[in-house]
Amino acid sequence: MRIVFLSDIHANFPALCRALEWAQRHRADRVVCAGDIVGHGPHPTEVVRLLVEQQVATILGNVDRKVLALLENPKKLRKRLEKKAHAPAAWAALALGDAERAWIGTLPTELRFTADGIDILVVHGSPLSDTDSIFPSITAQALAAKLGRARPGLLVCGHSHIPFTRRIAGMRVINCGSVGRPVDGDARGALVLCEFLGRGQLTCRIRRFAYPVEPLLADLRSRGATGVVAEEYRTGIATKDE
Amino acid sequence: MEVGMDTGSVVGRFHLPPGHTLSSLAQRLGRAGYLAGQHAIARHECLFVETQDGRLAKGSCRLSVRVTRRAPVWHLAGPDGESEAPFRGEAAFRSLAPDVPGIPSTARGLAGTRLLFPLVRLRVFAQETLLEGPSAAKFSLRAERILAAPPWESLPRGPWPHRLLTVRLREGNPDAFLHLAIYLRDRLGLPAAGGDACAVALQGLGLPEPGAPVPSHLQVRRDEAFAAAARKVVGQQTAKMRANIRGALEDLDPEFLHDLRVATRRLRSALRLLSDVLGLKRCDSLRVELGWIGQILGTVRDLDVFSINLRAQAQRLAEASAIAGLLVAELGRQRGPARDALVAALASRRFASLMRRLEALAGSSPPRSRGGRSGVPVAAAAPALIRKAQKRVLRLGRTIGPDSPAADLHRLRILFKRLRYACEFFREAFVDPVSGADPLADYIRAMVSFQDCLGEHQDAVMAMARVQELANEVVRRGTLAPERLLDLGALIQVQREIARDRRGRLARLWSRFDRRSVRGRLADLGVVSPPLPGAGGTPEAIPPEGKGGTAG
Repeated sequence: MRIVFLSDIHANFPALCRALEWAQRHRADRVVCAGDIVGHGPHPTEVVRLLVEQQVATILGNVDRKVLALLENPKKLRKRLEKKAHAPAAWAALALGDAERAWIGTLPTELRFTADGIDILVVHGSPLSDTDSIFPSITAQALAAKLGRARPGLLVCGHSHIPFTRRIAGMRVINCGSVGRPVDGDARGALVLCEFLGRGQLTCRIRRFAYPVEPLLADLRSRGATGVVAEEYRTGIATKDE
Repeated sequence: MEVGMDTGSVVGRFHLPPGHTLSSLAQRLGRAGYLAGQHAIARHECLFVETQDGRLAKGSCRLSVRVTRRAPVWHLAGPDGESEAPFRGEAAFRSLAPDVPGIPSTARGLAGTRLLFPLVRLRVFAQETLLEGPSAAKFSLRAERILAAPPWESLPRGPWPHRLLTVRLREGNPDAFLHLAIYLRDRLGLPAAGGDACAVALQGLGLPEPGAPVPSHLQVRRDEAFAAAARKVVGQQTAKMRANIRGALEDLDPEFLHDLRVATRRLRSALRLLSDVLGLKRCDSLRVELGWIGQILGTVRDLDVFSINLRAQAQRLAEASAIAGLLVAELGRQRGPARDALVAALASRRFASLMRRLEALAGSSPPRSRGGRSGVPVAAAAPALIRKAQKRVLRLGRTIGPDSPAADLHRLRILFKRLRYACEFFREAFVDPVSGADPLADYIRAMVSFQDCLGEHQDAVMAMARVQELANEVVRRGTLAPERLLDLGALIQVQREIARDRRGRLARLWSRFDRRSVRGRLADLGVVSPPLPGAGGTPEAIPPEGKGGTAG
């Protein structure tokens, strides 16, 4: 069985298209998204529609949650656009259609399921919160503190935009990186392909895929998406802290 | 949004890769929540027509003679939709006046006095369906397979080389259109098409768009290296030349010859101005060749212009109309051999080789060494170049008075042309991408007014000598009655009056050009002179003078 885990699409439709094509080409049985589907990019509606169309199991990310929170007070949305910290989420909230907003509102904050006898926990940031990050350097003690009572065989997260796969204290931990907004110096999108070989055997590989950046930048300009640094898409280097 | 959207109406056009049909597209779109209706099928042949300068296309219109199973019709597609009118006349025509019965009034209005020429011939097989989106917006989807041929050739047999998908929003929010367009582009991987069926066919055949607009890949950008921009300038003018050769060869419209000559002249000017980044030897040798063809073009064009002017002046001078008619007939006789020479030159291997060399220069890579101003961005190098040309115009222009000799005025006209061309070569690099403001527009306008006035003066001076020559010729042949000699004098007097009148206007036009606010346009380009060898108007910085100048 093959599962593709991806995360942090951030309303980048061309990147999501290439990611799903990659998954199809590599005969993935299932695609799971670890949140942050909108915000920053110019295609929130298109991304949501495609996730629905392709029946991608998706959880809520911190930016998606922020969009929902902003939508609770729609009168202030325009004002929020002027504030740097809120601009990407506010723009996404304004750009989303009713059906897409409603769909995001139904998303869970975590996902638990079993594949080939392995318990899988999918969260956006960490089991603690969707704004907490798990970095490649995490220690066994720090991970245990973040996990609490949960002891999954495979922990899947995103949020940091830095992909890694590690085995820590007998547990597999993977960070999917980012499909639509990589910040690790590689401008290509990232995802993780997990192959379940039976009897608890599992291989996890980080894969990168290229996507056309120029149409995305053209759409950013023409749609007037705010709070976005176009150069980040070309370089894969963040110009400010996430 | 780069999906080939037209301004005004919401239309997107995509190339349809082989293997994609309207049915397969509808199926894929169905998965994304789009519902397609029944397909309609249509097949037709059409011949698109245009003016020499592409006036219909500039007015967002396409006019064609469309042949279906029924009788042929005029078909006009414009911003207000499509319309048809019965076509009467011969299907094979070389050119048409726009007042031919049946041509829709919109097209007639756009064409004005210009003739219409066949542009490209198409055979189209089209499938069309209606599509309803998830947000209840309605679209029409039209998939076309296109076979194309130049108007002077018949349509080939074989596979359909061009496939085009046109998406039109019929009802609903433009956002819904964008969602569909992005889905088609990113999810289904359909590349955006540069235009409609006519544009795609022209592109596929390698024929220029009417009016030969500058292709996007040859547009000069503000931040690119000067050496690369210089090659683009050569490419632009070479493309203009290429676009007008056939029209000039077949004598379809005098404007083809005029535009070909202007492009030749501009190329000579560009090669002089930019020789340091294009290669001095290469530029010198190309300029010699351009001078050769320019002279041949100029001979015919001068006869055309003189003939047109004589006709116009004859209307002003009723008693001299007979003599003007006689002179025009004599000019017509002289034009024959001049045109034969022109046709021979344009069809020669020498000219073909010149075109190949120009295209090779335009397509060559800029030098790797970034010495001189090769690597300097256009935004820094171009203003210095323009200021240098301006300085020379101002130096001579300020000494010009009402009694200045005609030779000085002619020299000033040449300097003006160089300045104007320098501005126009790099003009688009300084246009504000957001507001579209063109900082050089007023400057160029002031220059054109003065230059036109000088041109008319020069034409009148030349005409005086020419009328005299022609008079001698017709007297020698004995085709002129002695009593008509007075009419000849009247005609020369007309030229004298024109020359005097234009001289009188010069001071006023100069004051419009040599004005602090207009001069300030260059300073407002906001660029400090780059540290280039000889920059700042020193004598070494002035490019070497050629014998013939750029005029002619």
